[in-house]
Amino acid sequence: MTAAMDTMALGATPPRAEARTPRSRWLTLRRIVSQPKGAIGLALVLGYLLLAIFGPMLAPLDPFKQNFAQTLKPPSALHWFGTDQLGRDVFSRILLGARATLGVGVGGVAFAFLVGVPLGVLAAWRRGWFDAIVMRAIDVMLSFPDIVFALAIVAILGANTQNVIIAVGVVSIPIFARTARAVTLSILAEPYVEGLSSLGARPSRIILRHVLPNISGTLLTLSTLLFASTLLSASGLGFLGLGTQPPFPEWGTMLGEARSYIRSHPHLATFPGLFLAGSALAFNLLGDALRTVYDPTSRGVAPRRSWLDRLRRAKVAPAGAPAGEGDAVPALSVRGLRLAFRTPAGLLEVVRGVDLTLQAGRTLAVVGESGSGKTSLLRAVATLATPAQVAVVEGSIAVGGESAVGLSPAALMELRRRKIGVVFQDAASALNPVLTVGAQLAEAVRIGTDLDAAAVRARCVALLEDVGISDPERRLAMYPHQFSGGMKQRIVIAIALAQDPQLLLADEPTSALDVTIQQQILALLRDIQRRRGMAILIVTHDLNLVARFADDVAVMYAGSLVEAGEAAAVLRSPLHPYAQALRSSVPGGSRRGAPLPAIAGEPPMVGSLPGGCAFRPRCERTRGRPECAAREPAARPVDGRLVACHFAEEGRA
Amino acid sequence: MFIPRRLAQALPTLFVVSLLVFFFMDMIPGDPAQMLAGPAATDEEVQSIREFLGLNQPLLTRYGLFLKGLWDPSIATSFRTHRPVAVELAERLPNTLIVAIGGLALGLVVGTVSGVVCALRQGGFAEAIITVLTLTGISMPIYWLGLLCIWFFAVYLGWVPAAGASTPMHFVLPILVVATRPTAMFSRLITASLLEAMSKDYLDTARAKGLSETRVIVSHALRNSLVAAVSVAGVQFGGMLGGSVVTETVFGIPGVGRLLVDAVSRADYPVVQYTILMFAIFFVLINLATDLLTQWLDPRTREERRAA
Amino acid sequence: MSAALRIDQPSSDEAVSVSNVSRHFVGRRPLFGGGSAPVARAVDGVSFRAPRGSCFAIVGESGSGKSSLARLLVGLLQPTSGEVRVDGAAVAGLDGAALRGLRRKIQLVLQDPRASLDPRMTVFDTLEEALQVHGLHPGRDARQARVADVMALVGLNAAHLDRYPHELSGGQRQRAAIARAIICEPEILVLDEPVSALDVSVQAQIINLLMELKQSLSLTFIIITHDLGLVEHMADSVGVMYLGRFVEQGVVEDVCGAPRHPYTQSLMAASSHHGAEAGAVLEGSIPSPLAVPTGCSFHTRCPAARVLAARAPAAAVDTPHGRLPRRCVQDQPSPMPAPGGASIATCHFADALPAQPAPRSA
Repeated sequence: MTAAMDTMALGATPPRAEARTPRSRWLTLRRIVSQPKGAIGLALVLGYLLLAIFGPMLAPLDPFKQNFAQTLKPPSALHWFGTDQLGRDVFSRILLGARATLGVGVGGVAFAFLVGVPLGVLAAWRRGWFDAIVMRAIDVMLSFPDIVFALAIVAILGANTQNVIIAVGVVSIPIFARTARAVTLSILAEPYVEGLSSLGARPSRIILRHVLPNISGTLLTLSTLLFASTLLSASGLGFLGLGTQPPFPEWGTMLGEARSYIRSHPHLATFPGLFLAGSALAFNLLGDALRTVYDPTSRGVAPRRSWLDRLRRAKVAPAGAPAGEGDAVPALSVRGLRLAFRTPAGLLEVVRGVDLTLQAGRTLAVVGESGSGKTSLLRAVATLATPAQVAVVEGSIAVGGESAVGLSPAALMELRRRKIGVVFQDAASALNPVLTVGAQLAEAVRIGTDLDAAAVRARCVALLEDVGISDPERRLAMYPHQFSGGMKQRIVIAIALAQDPQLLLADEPTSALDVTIQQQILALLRDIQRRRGMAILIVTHDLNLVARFADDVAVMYAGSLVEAGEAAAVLRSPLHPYAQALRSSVPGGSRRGAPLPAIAGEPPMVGSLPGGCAFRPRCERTRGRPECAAREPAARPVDGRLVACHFAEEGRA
Repeated sequence: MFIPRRLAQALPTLFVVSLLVFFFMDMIPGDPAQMLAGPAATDEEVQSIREFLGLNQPLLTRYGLFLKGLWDPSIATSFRTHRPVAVELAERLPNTLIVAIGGLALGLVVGTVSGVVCALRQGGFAEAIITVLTLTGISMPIYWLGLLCIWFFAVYLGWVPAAGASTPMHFVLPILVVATRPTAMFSRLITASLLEAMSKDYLDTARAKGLSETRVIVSHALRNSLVAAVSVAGVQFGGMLGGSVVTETVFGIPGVGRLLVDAVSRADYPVVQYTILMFAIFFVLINLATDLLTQWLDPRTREERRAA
Repeated sequence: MSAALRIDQPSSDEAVSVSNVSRHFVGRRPLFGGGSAPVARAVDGVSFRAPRGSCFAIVGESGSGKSSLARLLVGLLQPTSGEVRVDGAAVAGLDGAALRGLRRKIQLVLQDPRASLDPRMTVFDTLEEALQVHGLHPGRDARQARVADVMALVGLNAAHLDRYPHELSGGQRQRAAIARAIICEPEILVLDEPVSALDVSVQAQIINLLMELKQSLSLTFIIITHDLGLVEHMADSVGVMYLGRFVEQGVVEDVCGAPRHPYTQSLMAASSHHGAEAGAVLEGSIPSPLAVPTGCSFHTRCPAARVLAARAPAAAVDTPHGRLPRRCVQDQPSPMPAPGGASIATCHFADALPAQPAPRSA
């Protein structure tokens, strides 16, 4: 069942997809047509459908009339596509054959859909023995090559159009059943279905109102793609002489007849084949476009960098201008950094002028909410921001005195390797699932060195011991999934430490972990910092973590730093209204049960910031003061820290 | 631990398949004895042929004989040629396998390369070209493409022979043509899985180590795409075995597919039954091999599945 | 305050009472090599009572069984043994209309509001559906009026009615999920990590909303969370879960203020924001519920057990996790009520340990 199996792999998309629900059917249509393949596919499909409906009426000549004086003639003004071995007009026969050819496809897919989808949905809903039987039956059916299976059915039932529909339909039943079962299972596992059950909704309501609408996109896509392969299988049977019987024309049958004349009269095979391939292509194009609409994994195309953008890079300050002070070169120095996402609509600023200095041996925490730009900042510092997606609009980043902006790929690699280590939020996805821990660690150790295998291994063992993993020799041969979350994060840290970086960047390193494990990881990081004297830049939303772990803190809001200074001082008595609200809105403080001093509104969306101070719409201090709307406050020193508020002094307790 | 369990699962499937093959074929209309004897034969002649072929024995006895034929090829003979089906199949199988394996290998290589190019050049000219070509590839009726290629390369240019399987040159055109679909499928698969892998954190981990972009893609992203590619390869290989029914007709190759088509049209039961059973066994074996390879490539699937 | 302590006698003014409830998941028996099917003890002998109008918190880490317990409460899972009573009526054995009636009384709010709303339904459709399921407010006009009322209650306006979940912000989505839960006038809300998927500044809004609703609608809350700050802010009583069992439970002031179980002590130390390095960092991670350790299930990680073993070497045994008191390794501890306070700790040495004052309340 191959042709169709390909399709199945494409069709069985996780229905999470449908989170991008179109607002209406018309929007779905617009999304299809807005893709070139969708527009062409839809137009072709419509054309073919019209052909199937009106084709027989349009035929200029009688498609059955034989003329032995005019056999096997090449295309001419009278016979546009020539004549066949019996002197019949090929063009008229193709027009008439559209109905049979496409009808077989429609009939086959409809048959398979009507049998397969209910079976699959029921199997997913009932589970148990019914599911087991359906799955075994699918296994058995998938043990036959599809065309052979269809051939056998036609052989049993006899060769005619109706039996071909049954044959190609039966072949597709397991595909529909399996896909419907898979997508139904994943919808049933969604929390909202659990919520409905706890609400007391009946199973029939859940299936009809929640499961079916949510799997319809996937099934529509699958049907369209299967239509193309069904068409080809059905015509394949016709080609073998087992489809629609002569003299009635069907494109596959016409090709089968043309086979004998391919050496002398190739035109006979050309036109039916062209129409057949065109119809399969039409449905494949449409199916592909539908998949883009319904499938989350098919991503939008990353915009190419325009020449304008390339020129823009020139504005970036050259080599890392050091922080100014003559003493130690800071481990990290960020000056006036502005970052922007490249979107089809143009550049979208996410980091809007950030200055940071981080000395060796110290820990700086960047605190912010989602959309504050903190992760973009970290990725830019880690030199991991893809130039095709994120543009450094302005400013400089210097790691250990070396500029990290505007370097060649090779120089970037070198800088990353020698000076920067990165720890990610989700250790499970930060490790390659199919490689052993040892292989991944060894790769990090070996790069840029000429150590032999034994030395690499010794270093790997030492690194695992460093991060507190016992029995390292044995652990090197294990795969990531065999470790717990905390252990995986330790391994990620070991990889980050492999080249003795001066700067360790950590993006929410503990937020995916349980509290007791968080403490282990933080203690480990602190211990490593003490031993190696490196600088740590940590990005987090957790103020408890900042209080326990960081020396300095920088609070980010809408792409800018609103307050930065020593962690203890800032957390004890924040001056910026946002920093203040953030601190006091954490539950567990003194006033139990009393309303928390919440910040009104929601974090702003990137690209739609208000003029003036970005925090203005949610700020209690502004009270309509014109300064706040007039200009964006610059960070200025107040009480030994930097605060970006026109009225920072009012924040003193 | 896994292999015996997987085999234990495959055996009942094969048993049901053998039942299906046998009893479905029995439902084919048309009396083979009548067909062999010809339209002019008397009832006695037909009856004696029927006895000779063992068609008058009870159904279960014949199913027993059908299974026995798997061990003892001499009792499983073609109605027409009276030679053991095993011999008929053995003569033709190499031709079928050469085309299928050749097409798969070609498709794997070309498809992977174009898939990688397509993934790395998103939004570029190369991507557009490859997308159009792959979509055309999966939409192409192989029998039509075969006919056009025969006309162009064999008849018009005269580079290769048009039909048959007597020299290596005979296989060039069939392999090129059957490779179309696997090439397109692999290309699309590799593109999709690379694009998915590109968004994974572990690629950033690899970049942060200081690996070059090429190494990041080859040893991390592509390594993960391999898992999906293996199952598609299995499906494609099976597809080409089944497709041999059509391709061997187009290219006039004496292979298993052609044997089956001829046997169906001549009601040669034993040949049809054993050929379809052989296809099914191939499919089950391919699935088994695919699963084993996936297990080997993806350590996560190696663990015993734990409930709860 | 001692209401939380009476965990054995049912009483009519209790919204939820859970008596010795267990839920075990039986895995697949290995096909070859014999052996019995593995059993995961997700919930193992849990009892608690939540009086009407109170807030009971269930605290635990991932794998502690707290989510299974939440599903047992709302009837999505059936207990292997023990009994869950909602509003005085046993949940088990109900079906049809009786079960739906019970489900109206107890509603579930999930962690991720994006996943807990059907992406293909507008807010209005989602809310109306809840009314339809229970046949409340018959007639479209009546339902529209009720939906409008509830929208106002949760702080959404009419403009949000026609939006799909993906068109709402995280906070608005959680408000819609809460609206769905309260529209059928339930008595009890089970809140599974209600704010942990939200931004910090939005968390406070949702917490305030929940507290307001609890007051104005006289709701009983069962909160499942890992956030002790949230527990201290919202809950009256708390049960600390570890490997399917409550290791400590009682009124919040006592459990959080003076934790007696070493696990609670470690949790408190880990989550307070004053005094870095307060308390020892807990070693290792939570064992699999398929292989619950013998004796006290916490003994593999217990920092106090190690100290106790060093103090009394004669009563200690060697284990893969170090030298530990024999009782911790071999005997399952029974609940030990606090001498004067209102908490129960399931630890052999609950009274031998110094009750560590939580750094936060200091």
